[in-house]
Amino acid sequence: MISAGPLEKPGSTGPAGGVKLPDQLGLHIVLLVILFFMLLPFIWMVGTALKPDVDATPSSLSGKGKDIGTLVSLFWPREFHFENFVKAWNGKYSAAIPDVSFFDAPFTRYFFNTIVVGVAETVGVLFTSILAAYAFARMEFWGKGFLFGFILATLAIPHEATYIPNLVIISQLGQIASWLGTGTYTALFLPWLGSAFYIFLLRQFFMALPQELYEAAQLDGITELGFLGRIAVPLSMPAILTVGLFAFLGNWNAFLWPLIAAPNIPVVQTGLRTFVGNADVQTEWNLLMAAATIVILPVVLVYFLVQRRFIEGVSRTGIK
Amino acid sequence: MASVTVKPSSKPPGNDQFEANEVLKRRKKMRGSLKAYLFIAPAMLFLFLFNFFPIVYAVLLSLYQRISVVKGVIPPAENFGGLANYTRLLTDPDWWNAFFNTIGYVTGVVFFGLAVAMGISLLLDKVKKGKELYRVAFFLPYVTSLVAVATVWYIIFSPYASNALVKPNPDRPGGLVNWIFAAVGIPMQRWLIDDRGIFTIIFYNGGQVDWPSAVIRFLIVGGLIAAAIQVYRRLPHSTGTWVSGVLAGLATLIGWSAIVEVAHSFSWSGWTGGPSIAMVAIIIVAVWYSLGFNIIILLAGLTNISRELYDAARIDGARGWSMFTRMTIPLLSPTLFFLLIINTINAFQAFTLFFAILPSGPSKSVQVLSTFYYEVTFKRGSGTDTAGFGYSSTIVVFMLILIVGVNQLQQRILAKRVNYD
Repeated sequence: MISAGPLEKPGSTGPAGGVKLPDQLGLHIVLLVILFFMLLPFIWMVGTALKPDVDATPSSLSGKGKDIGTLVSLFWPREFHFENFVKAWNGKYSAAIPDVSFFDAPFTRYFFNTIVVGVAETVGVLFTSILAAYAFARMEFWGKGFLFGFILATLAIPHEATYIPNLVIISQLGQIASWLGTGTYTALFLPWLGSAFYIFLLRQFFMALPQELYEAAQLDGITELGFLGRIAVPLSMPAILTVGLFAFLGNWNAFLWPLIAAPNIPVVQTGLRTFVGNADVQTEWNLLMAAATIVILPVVLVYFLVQRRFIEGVSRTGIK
Repeated sequence: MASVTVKPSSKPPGNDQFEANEVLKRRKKMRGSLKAYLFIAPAMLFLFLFNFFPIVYAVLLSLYQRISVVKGVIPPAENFGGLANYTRLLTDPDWWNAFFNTIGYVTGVVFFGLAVAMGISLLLDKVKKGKELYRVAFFLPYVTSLVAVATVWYIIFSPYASNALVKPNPDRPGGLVNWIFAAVGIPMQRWLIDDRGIFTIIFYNGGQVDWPSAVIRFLIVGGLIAAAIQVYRRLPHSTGTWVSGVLAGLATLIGWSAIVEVAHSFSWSGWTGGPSIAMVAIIIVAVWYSLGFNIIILLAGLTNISRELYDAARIDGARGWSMFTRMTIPLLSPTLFFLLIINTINAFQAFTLFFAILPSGPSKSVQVLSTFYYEVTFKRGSGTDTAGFGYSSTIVVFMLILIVGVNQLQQRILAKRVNYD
């Protein structure tokens, strides 16, 4: 476009950049305002987490009389109290609670439990899903269509419907071996080791591998397992990492199952709920928000590291 | 999750040009079959044991009564109650309350969730530079854990100015929302702990109405809207839009005050009070949380619509609203349909949000099926008639029927109108 002067009509399509700025500027302002309101809870969370006790506890949020404080004072702490995070991590919400060492701190325990269960679940579900997805993508066998239909049908089952029966199954397994029963680490990840969703996702990727590769490998006398391990898996690494990420994240955010299956093993979410449910903490907003920040932060960091892969993974499941 | 878009499709036929020997092939297939079963065995075992079998087992348990801890896989025969749990469920006012609350919650979340996400995605789709950054930022809430964000929202909606005060105190607003309300001059609310309907709160003031002034205001509104339409048609596009926008804004203001005045003549009690203000607050949080997911999926769908189709429609004279209803919606219908079903399923199962945002348990107006199920299973006294896995299994079986039923209904009604190209 040669003459991109002020006379140019808004809305006409031209190349990006140039003097088209005012047109898109309005759009950006609108979007940024929406975005601001969308992220407001997080801004409020971090701001409150850093406030001193006097400002954060609800009774003195306002100061004196009718003065309800300024908008800035609502979000921006007067003084920065980073030790709130340490207090929340240690569960030290009142002076009466004795000090604990780092290894005994509640949140150390929550993180440790969650990571143990998360790693076991991720490795396990990847193992079963990769094998099954490969078989459904590359192998011919009797009953394949029926079995795959069965797997897809389990997608429609809401997890909740399975909780009580699974509780019974887990406690029955506990009769066989004590490390399988309720209240063990195994109970937390065992029911989730088979996932129709991940099998479906990985199968799509395995099917997209070129057929020639497979035939060439067969001519070279490589077994199915060898082909899977040495060629298919390395080539589908992006998909496998996405599935692994989903599995670990799903475990990080799991709440109801850990709550009922193993109340004695607090994971991050149930631990946070215990912390929040404590009546003494409910007025200590800065500690509440510090605890919430502690739980959210690792996920957000991971998300920013791999956001592209993450969003691609999500949108791939949405569009046909 | 992705139960709808996925269809079992057979593997594309490989070109087995290298193998001519039929016998060798068949023997190979036999051996391959066995190997394939070994490959799928672990996943199948877990899926069968922890996904499929539990459904059958829940149906079995729902036929028994008074079992709170199951000893052995089959409950004792003297506890067999036939369909007693089902008749009890259908006559349980608490269950019906939870049922209607769930319907209201699902409707609200799905409708507003999709509408808001649609609006934002349409804006995002126009962005030329920095679309990636917006996508990353808008998706952020969805990756965070629900328990943590529910805690944040619990405080944002908190009406407590201090632990001792139960009623909102105008001098000391509690959370962010009440702070804003106080600053703007709207009466503060007890958000998450208030069972009163939202219309009751907005409209009710004792049943008086000033009819003559209400009628006059309605006439003024009608005139203003007509004028706005005329201005929009007559004047050149740029100024016409501006002037008619102002007129429409005025009409909305006057119209709203007239509606409020007329609404005062009605009592707004019972179900006419609308969803409780606690439910409204929770729906806001649920919509906010699911927004990221909906936007990502909608944006992917919008990007897939080819620019040529848009340009062709523009040449044919499609603009603004008609472009949206005639072009965007039909072309986007597969994506919208997928989102409708996913959102419905998720909303029916919503438990964590209710549990985490209501630390002292749900009150009557925010008791949904999943929280009711939890209460029946784990909270009510064990060993008594009201407790136990039998009755709660009945609730779960009904939830399952409900979810599958609603999905089937949506598919029957909408599938014909969905435009797969």
